[in-house]
Amino acid sequence: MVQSPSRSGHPPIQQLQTIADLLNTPALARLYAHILQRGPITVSEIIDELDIPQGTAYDYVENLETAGLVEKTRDQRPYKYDVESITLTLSTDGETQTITPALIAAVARRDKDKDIEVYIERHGLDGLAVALEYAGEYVDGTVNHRIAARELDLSPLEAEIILQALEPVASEYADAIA
Amino acid sequence: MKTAYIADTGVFVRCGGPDKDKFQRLRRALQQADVSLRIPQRVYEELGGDPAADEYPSGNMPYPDGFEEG
Repeated sequence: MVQSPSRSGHPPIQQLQTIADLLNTPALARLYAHILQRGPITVSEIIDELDIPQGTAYDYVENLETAGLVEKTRDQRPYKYDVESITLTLSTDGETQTITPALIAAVARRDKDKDIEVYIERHGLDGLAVALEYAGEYVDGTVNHRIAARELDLSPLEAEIILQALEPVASEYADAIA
Repeated sequence: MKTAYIADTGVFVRCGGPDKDKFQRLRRALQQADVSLRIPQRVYEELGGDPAADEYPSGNMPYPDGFEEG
């Protein structure tokens, strides 16, 4: 079952495909997270700030716009873009996971933060999503690495590493995660 | 009265190993203040006890040299 509160009128399955791309393509996730953080923003500003090739940036923005994940906020050139905040809840037999902008922002860091990269390799994106919830509580001070380690079945050291790696994302999206 | 400084695992994960700038800054600050950090046995074990953590760049830290084991 797929649920997406789609204010934009874009169908959930089409959004699902683009979100799958977001999760599989760190550069695309980075661009999405950047628009989320800095939007409304023009494509040339994105190119300057993220240092990605011009063609790639335009392609990515176009894909995101087609899927309804970003929208033009200015109809004259230079166009400015802002994101439609998404949450997508996936349920498979007995397991539910929600894909949020914070998760996409965490994935966006995997190229630059090898601790996140290794964690995804070891525990998958589902593992990362759960760790991100703990990172929110870690930032609030309600959970420490030992509690997270016990509940996530990690060593305390691995828990501390991923909690610290996710800390910037958890802080930035504190309202959204809680 | 004597003050003891006790450090938890997170401090060492945050600082990284001796090749990291943060580690050097911590060491310098401790030397200047003429204090040493005490670490509980549990922290000592956490820092060295997980082979899986070696895969992580931040997991690769040697036992903190010069710190007293509590």
